[in-house]
Amino acid sequence: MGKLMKYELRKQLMSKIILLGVMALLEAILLIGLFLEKQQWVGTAIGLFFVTVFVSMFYFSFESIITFSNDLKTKQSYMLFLTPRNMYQIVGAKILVTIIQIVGVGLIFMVIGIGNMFLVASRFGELQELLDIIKELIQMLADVEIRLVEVVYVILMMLVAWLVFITMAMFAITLSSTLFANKKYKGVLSVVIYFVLDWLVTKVAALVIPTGFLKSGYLVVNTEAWAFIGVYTVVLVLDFVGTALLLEKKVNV
Amino acid sequence: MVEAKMAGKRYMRKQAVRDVNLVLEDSRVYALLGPNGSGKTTFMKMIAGLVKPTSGLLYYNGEKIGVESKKHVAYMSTEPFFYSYMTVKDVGKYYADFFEDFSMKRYEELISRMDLKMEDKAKELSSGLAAKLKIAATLARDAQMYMLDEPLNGIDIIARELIIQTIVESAVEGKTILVSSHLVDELESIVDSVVFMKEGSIVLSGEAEAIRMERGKSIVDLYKEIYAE
Repeated sequence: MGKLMKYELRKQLMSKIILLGVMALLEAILLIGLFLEKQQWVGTAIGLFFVTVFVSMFYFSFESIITFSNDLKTKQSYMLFLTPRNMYQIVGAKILVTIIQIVGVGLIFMVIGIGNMFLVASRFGELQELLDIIKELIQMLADVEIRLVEVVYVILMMLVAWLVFITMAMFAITLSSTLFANKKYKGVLSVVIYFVLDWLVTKVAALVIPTGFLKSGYLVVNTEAWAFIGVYTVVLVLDFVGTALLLEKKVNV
Repeated sequence: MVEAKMAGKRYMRKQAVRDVNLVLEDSRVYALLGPNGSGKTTFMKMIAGLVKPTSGLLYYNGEKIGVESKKHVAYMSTEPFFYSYMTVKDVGKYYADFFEDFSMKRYEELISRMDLKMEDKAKELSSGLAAKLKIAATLARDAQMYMLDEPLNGIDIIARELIIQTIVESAVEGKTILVSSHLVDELESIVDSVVFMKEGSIVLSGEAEAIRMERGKSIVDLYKEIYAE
């Protein structure tokens, strides 16, 4: 599976190179701004950094889905589906690479972000105060003492929900390729299938996950959070198995 | 050995392959003949595991087509299929990574013989060179079975001889070769058996020499007779 993952990463390498270039440019602006004591430059670089984080995390999710779609609809699919690997390995490699990319890029962003914060804070006293104000503001909005366990729950829930988004999209594309093979509008239909599946999952999840999941801004941990993670993990597994099974038994490339 | 028992493929309203009964034996070169749309490519893709039969059964060495058969069957499609970022060298590395029977030495030898360069970008190659690259990658495998779909497409007359020569080199004891083409005259001299397909069905198959003797015609003339109707 390692080799499958290697080529999945390679297929999506260009966007990472572009991101690297953008980040290098922003860092250069930030460092020059710090050196010349131009706060406007520093502010612009930080602002653009956050935009880059948001856009790239969003784009990388879609890139995985687009790559999967291309693997089914273009002749390049032969490269993948002629390899002597079973479909669970092929789909599994795609999902693992998606996780590695998002977590990896997320961690890199975090390290760069924290590094930059320290740089800025040590250079401008005023910005240090600003950071304190932002911190206080976040505390006020959350109206809650941040506890580590809650942070872990939130991260886990976000990760599972985000993975379900990716795998459900893959399943919808595979389903569309099975039911509407050789139809030009199968791409549009896969979007429709995705929304129908999402609606169904949301309905079922609402029945299983206890109400009062979020109570007056306080996260009710334990049962509710685990119910959420449990339900969406089951959906994740179903998406994965469904996609692999359809590819194995039905899909023609 | 490939065995098809009433194998068929239906796409919605179109029956691409219809009730094919066929045995492809080891150590033989087969020509799969028929005009465009006769079902040759679909049938080859079924053996390659890219297209799933909707009826009947298809076996490779007694097992259903799947991961195991992909280890031993080298398929070359008629369309270019390499990833757009790949150079000729990357293609070799990819095959080496996934196919245990791939020989980088043989690949380098074929690439050199086909006038390709390792640093050439696959997507920037002319159609003739792209076809040569596909052939080099496929035949650099020491597979038990080779399936070449229209290997002479886009190849000029001079290079065709080279391609045919390379195919013949691969036809050693124990190997099965299935070549589809509508350029029948180019293949007639190298094949042991022929399979004629029409509208998804096999209309005639058997040993080339026996068919010639029985019908008193060359394969080329038979082709014209079958498809002129």
